[in-house]
Amino acid sequence: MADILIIDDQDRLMDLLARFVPEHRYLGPARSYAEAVEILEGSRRSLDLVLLDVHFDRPADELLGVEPSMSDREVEGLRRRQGLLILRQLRRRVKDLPVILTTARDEISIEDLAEAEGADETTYFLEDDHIDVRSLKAQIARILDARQGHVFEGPIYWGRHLSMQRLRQRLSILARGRLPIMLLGPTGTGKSMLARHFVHPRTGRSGRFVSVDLSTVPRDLAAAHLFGAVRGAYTGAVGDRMGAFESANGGTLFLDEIGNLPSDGQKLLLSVLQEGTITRIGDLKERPVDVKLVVATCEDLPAKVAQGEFRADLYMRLNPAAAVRLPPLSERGLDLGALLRHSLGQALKGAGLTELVREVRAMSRLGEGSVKIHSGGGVPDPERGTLWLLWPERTMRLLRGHAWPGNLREFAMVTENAALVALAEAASVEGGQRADVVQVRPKLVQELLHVARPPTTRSGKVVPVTLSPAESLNQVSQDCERQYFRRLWFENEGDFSAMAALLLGDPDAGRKVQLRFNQLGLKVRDLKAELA
Amino acid sequence: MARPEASSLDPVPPLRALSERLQHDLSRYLAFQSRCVESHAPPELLREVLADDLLRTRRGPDGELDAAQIWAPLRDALAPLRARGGLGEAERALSDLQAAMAVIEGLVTALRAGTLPDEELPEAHRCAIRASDAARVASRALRNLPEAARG
Repeated sequence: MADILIIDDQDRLMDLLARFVPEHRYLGPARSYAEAVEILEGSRRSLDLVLLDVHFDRPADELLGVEPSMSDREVEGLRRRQGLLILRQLRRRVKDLPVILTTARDEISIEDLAEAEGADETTYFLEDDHIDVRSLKAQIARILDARQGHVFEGPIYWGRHLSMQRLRQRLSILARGRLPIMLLGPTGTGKSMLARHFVHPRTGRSGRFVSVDLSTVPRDLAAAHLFGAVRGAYTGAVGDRMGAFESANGGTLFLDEIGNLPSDGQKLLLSVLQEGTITRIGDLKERPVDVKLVVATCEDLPAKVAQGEFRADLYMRLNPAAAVRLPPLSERGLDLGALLRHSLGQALKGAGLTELVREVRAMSRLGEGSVKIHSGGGVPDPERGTLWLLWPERTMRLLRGHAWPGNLREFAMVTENAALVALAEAASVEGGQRADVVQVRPKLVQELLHVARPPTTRSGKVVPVTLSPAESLNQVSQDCERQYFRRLWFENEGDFSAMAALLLGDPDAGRKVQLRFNQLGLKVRDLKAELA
Repeated sequence: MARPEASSLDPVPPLRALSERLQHDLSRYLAFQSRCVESHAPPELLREVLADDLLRTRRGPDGELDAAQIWAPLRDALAPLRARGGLGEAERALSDLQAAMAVIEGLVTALRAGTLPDEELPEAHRCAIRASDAARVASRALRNLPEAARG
């Protein structure tokens, strides 16, 4: 049984939980931040979780953030996002207490707003538009598990950001259908892993998962590779050969970088999609195949179609209307902690890190045990046999502020390198106060990120501005500045740390950028409204 | 009857506020518990969740409001906007919502009077979810109204 605090202006959530999730003890509902603090301070047991509404229909004097000069409209605005202000105050008081924001989702991304108000790794969002008690129950159980140290994060696609949740919902549905699935997104966002580990198991097919990266198959051999060939079909074809389609029969075929498929291969692929049969190169016999086709590209396929490089009829057969776009890593700030644990969890199984961990353990006299990763604020309490790899908040801020042009691939390399260097240093120097904690210092990560920065960023970012005459040069220059600040804000999804990293080379200088932003008369509220 | 919450009784609110009231006050809570059970759930459970959703649609420190009490001021606030016309898709959504809420008003009366028979509970349950969905659609339609139609 967990102790869960409800902060909500209504009783309905409390009633629902008492009826459908009676296994926990509920405190509240607190109608305001002040009431929540009273309950937090008065509770004899430590709380396990907070369920927090966002919209509070309460009198102005009970709201956080109200100022005497505010209009009724502004106060109403505060009511609509009161939960986010409460979240910010809560985070100052109880840093690691998990909080689920229970508001229904809508066009305005509550994640983005919450992130600006101090949401972090222990802030969660309802997994559905409406409260579905089964998923809420499961979500609570997973959060409580995580709090007790059980890792629940799945692979890279298991993010909490709304875009990732919608992506999973959509793919679960598309996987069951017979039409192809098209995965879009920049390189390194995990398209291949998503196809293999998420889509294929949900197709309900018993056949194999076969993956072909068309960017690595010689163009001359692509058709034979996909459709098979008979002896003598081409120079070097010394025997009959089965293609990827036949290998994947009854299962899933993943074609990565579909834009690289040469024109003869495109024609054959179209024929397979239309007829459901393949003919090996050089053969006359048609063979029926039944595969779930998943294709992926980081290219602009419609542009290739327009330029005549990709067949329009094939493109339409690939089900572009239902294409699923994977977000770049820079849009998944809330998931970085989980991704870090997943990525390093994999890396720690490798020989290099395992050996270093052994050396650190020997030096620290820790004995046998596990390696745990802690990210964000505070230092974890010692646990028997546990070696902590600590990623302090300042280090995490650097990770969140980086643009990650190489996405997950770059993230995995940077974080593994950082862990490697931190462990190597710890293995060569006697530990400090806590021999069981290896810290990944911000400076180390900053250096790695600097090296990883692509040349385009190093040589300066090009931001187009429109020059218009004004009364003074100062006005002209301010107008230009406003334009590029505005553009950078949109490009960085409102992340001032990322803007500071770009403008000042220091992600910690976000406040400076925000100040200048305000001086220029730019209002985050207006830009968010535009974004919505 | 308990006193309604202050901000729910605001005079005719602007369009955005109306859209948000439809979502927050009506859509969210109209089927809050109904969505957690199936239509073929035991009649006692269906009756309890319907009573919570339709008779105590909003319940807080200031009292309770049933679905009809929440809908009435919203309907009145929407009336001048609809009378002016030119709402396009939004008018269809509002018309669907009005039809769905007319059914809900009947259910509120029947539930309160204890005259809703067990065999009609599954359909009532579906109606609550339909009305919640209709309120959501109407809320979005209002929010997406082009500038010209806002008046």
